[in-house]
Amino acid sequence: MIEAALLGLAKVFAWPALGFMLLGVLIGIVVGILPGVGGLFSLAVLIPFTFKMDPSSAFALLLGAHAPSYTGGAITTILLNTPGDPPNAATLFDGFPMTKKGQAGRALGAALSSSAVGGVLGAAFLILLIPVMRPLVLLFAPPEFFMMAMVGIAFIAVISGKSLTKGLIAGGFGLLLGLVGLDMSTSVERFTFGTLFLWDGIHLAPVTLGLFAVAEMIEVAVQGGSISETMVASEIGGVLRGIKDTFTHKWLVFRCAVLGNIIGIIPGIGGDTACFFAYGHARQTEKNREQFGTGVVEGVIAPQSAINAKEGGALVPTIAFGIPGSAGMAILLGAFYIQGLKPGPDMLNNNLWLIFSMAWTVALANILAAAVCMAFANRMARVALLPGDYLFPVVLILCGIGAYCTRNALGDLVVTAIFGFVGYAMKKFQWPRPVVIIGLVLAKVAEKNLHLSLRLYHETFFLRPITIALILIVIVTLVLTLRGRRRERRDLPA
Amino acid sequence: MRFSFRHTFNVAIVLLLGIYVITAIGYNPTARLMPLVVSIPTFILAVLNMISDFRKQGRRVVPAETCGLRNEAGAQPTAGSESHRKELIIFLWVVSAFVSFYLLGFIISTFLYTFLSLKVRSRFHWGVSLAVSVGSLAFLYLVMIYGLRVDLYQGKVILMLRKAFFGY
Repeated sequence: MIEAALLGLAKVFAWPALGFMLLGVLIGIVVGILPGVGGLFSLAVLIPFTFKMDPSSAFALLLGAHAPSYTGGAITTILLNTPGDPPNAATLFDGFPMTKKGQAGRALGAALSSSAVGGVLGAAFLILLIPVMRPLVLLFAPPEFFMMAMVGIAFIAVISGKSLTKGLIAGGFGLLLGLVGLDMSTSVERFTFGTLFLWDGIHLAPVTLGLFAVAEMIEVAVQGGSISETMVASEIGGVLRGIKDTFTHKWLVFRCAVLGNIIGIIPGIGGDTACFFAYGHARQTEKNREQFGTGVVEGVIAPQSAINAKEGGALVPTIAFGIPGSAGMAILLGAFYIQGLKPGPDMLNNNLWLIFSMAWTVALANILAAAVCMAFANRMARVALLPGDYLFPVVLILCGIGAYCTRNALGDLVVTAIFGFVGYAMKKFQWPRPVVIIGLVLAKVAEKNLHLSLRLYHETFFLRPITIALILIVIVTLVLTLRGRRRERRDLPA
Repeated sequence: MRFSFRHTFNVAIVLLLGIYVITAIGYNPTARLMPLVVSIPTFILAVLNMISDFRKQGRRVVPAETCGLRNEAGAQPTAGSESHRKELIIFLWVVSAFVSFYLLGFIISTFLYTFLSLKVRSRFHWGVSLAVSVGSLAFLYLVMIYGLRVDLYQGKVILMLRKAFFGY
């Protein structure tokens, strides 16, 4: 095993694999920054270039480009309220408020360093978990997936902000949006109103771009000025403080990385949910939970460490069973076959060095990406000081392109525009917007697994041990949240 | 009682959820299970929220200026109406961006929209407007088209002209 680990490391540092990894990292950062064209896009575009490469170079390029895309995505998320990749949406709940408070540098430092640490932990878990992979994955069936989705939905109550009623309505609205399109069980058209575009459902990216980026630009344009009016010279250099924050909250980073990794391992939950789970977890467990959503560094660290760790987790079932743990891994699976590799026990026995090489690549790519971004983080933080008049057309165009590139459909432009206005109204009338995204992400996962559970295990599906444990988590989450809210109300001065 | 934008928004949500519930009832039992489980409680909460907001508004003392009413001098526009006028103009700018993407495609829109937004809306010097527009176009072309080879939408008008002049 140690021999394979060392051989894997040597292969990563051998030429030309190292060069391909560096190239991949640069591509990954650029692609991550651009809204709408995320890690999946870079994988799909780069696969044809790997046909004639050896396996170590091919995976260095592909994983080098894929691993840091969420790191790059954090930059526009924090500075412009425009998620580079849909999973970055959870980072904007506190990342953008930090920018508005004049702490863009600190937020960037925390996001980049927690991404790097999360990525390294994800790679470490990949190596540690491979021997115990099989029983872990087999523990999860549709009832557990359904209850995992319910845990996510319970977090709606946690991050609803001041008004629980508004939070629940917005969360319900998000869930209903997620149910638009062809029903997976019966192929019935639901809420499509005869529009072919809606058969495929409403995609996460255009909704997120509209609700957050377009809405923010409308607000900046209406109010005038820049995103941050309060940034002072000393705070621009807050990157180091952000890095320090990551290490001060090392246990939060570790817990969220474990959470992200577990969600990444389980095929069927959808890696996009990892960041929301991590955010909800941080909001529940941190001492300053009342301040979440107003720009606290823990709200940036938690989702970033989880989304970068989940890719290491998603590699586990891909390698061990040939079952992709995320959409990105499904594309990567194609690369395995192009290279003549067959994922599964055969790969574990005969190409263990390659698995280690992949783990090293994920870890190194995350560190390199964070280092490259940090080198420019101070300059990038100045974007927050630019007059909103400059940003307004540029961000609107980026949103339009990002929405269109999601699936090359003009309908997504309409969705972005509509949700831009909805997002602005929600912000103005103090409705929580993040819960809409959580609902949208979890709706299909919950529905599909509810139907499967009912068919396979009938009405007693919730009596399985892990399902019972998850039900308890849902109950504890709701009870603690409601108790906290009651206490807050009681403590308010009359 | 004054019917504000907040109330319009609440009523719109209630109507939307009401349509959702009515539409969902028409589906077969499997297809409507989840939509009804979610939409009925959400609809009830939305109605309760709307009623509570109306009642709160009734109790609240609203300063005349925020309602868009004239002050005693009668001549100056109020902060409320000025803000709504600004919002309306920005909304039109946002709509025009998406309409221009549809009609002219991303490449022409990037240049044209950036230039018009900076020159007409923000009243920047034409040199600055031109420089930022050219910069945006160059970035789009170099990164998206040349670098990533993304197939960007060309625009309804451009496609029609191409068909008229070149036959494809």
